[in-house]
Amino acid sequence: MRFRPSVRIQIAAVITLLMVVPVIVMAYDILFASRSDDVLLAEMEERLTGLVNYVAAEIVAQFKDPETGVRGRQGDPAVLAEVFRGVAGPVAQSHPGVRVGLYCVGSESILIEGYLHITGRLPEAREQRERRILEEARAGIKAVLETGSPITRVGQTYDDRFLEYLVPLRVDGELVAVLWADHRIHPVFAQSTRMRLLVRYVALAAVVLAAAGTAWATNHWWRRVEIIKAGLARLGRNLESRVPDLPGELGEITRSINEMAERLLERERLIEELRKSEYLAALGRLVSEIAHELRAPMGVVRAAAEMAAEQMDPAARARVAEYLDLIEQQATRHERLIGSLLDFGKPGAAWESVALNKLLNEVLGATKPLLERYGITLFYEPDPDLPAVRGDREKLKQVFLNLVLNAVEAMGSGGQLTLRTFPDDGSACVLVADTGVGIAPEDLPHIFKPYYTRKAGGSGLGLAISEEVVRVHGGVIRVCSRPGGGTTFTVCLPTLRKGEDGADGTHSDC
Amino acid sequence: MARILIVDDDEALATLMDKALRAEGYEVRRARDGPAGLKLLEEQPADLVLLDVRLPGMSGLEVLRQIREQHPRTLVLVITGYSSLPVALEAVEGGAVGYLTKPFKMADLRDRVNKTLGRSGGGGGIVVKVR
Repeated sequence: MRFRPSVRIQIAAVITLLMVVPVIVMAYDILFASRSDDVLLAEMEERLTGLVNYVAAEIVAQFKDPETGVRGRQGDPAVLAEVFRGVAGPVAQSHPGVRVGLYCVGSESILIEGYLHITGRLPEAREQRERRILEEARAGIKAVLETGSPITRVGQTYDDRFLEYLVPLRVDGELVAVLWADHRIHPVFAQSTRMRLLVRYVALAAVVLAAAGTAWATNHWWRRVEIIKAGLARLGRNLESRVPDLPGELGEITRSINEMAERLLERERLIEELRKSEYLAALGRLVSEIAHELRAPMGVVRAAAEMAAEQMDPAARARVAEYLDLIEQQATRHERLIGSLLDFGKPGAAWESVALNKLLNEVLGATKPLLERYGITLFYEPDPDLPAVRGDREKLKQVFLNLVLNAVEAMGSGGQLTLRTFPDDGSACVLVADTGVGIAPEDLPHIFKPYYTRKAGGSGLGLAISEEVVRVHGGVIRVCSRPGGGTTFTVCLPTLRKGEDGADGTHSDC
Repeated sequence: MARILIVDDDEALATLMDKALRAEGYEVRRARDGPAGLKLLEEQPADLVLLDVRLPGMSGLEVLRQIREQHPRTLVLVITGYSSLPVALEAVEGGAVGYLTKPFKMADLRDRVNKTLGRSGGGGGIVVKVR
């Protein structure tokens, strides 16, 4: 299998690649390129060292040479000054910007040749200048006198800095003077060294910070992507779950995903409803077809019996009257059965939002004359806040009509019919209670079975069809009854926006 | 003697109607579908056609339209399927003199046919039976 690094590793790799080049360049700059300053200083120092050593060697040589006439007179400051001038003067002249100085041990005066500033400075009295230079060089002179060995130092004159190399001047082992040479360090050069170093460190810090920031942001972003990933996985398993809300643009994504899930859920629900209503419609068509086919032969049987009776002489007819009556009776019963089937087979409507209270008002409106005729008292207690359900309005109406008619039949004359609606855990429920004869315990488990009836002339289909309609709507129908104690049916239908995996049907519980 | 044509694919019911009407003295012929019925009418006109609206092949309403077109003097009583009032009303609008709804008693049939054909002093009024 090909190696597929995660997005996180890819981003980390890109950041690393982006960072590597600037970091290497800066590291090189800091570790090696900035050394160029040191190299320049070293070169300057070397030059000064060479000059000073040359001048020192020349002076010492003159004091040692018998031909110069100064041999052994190194203790005399005037002689020393003359020798110095003779040696250092030409050197200073041939090296502009280099100043050569001599301090005689034990004196408070110095000798100077050459200038640090090629252009010169403001006119200054010679003595004044020498005093100033002595002050500037004093620390170095002191150090050389104490240690007896050459030193290099950086001094300060006005606002300039200069490099200074000092050596002790010894003649025959006797330290007679301190000789030095200065070279001005250009201020731009001095400042830029510090500045460049600072800029380099700041830039390096910025790059490192940027890398750390990017890594942090990526990680932060990545964790949110992980949240979305996990949320989507949950959503894949269960459309009702939601991706957690996040701030910012990722939040817009999660909200879009959630909206999409919402629409998908809605769509799924509609498809499910469509499937159910199509199922009901197909079932209805099949039932109608069968009912029609069943009705035709019975019509013929009835008509044939009728004609047979007509053609008999009265005596013969009297003998078979009982059988003819039976044929007539059974044909009528058969037709009633078919009638129930045809009612159920009426084409189903598209599912819609159904307010059960309103539906029950219509059912009661239709059955009011019947209730009055049998002297039945009606108690109707609709819950005004009952949520709507979704379904086939006509089929649901038929269910409740059926239950009310059953109740009326069970009570016969007089009695009390109670209808109540109430919400119950995501369902809207309708209770239909009568004070009729009740149902025997042995019949109770079978009342929803097709063709099971205890009523004379009952089709045994009413409750079976009602149960099927409720089941298709994802609802439950319950019955509670005692012989002589009346019967209570409760129909619970899922309200809008609830899962439709209603229980598989019926319960008998009191 | 009045001539009656029965167009119905239900053999048993057609036989019963045939016998019941013959007993009344009518001359009865039978066809099992629309084209056969129209052909019989071509051969010999009839005074009344008892027409089932649920027929195999050509629909009863189409047969009714053709009868009204080709034999304007022939009366048509439609026999409708069960509880299909809308079709019955459509048939009456299409020129049928009335309709009988299955299931019907043979006595009702005789009564309707006699009245439609102006016998037994019924005055020939058209009685629409609504079940």
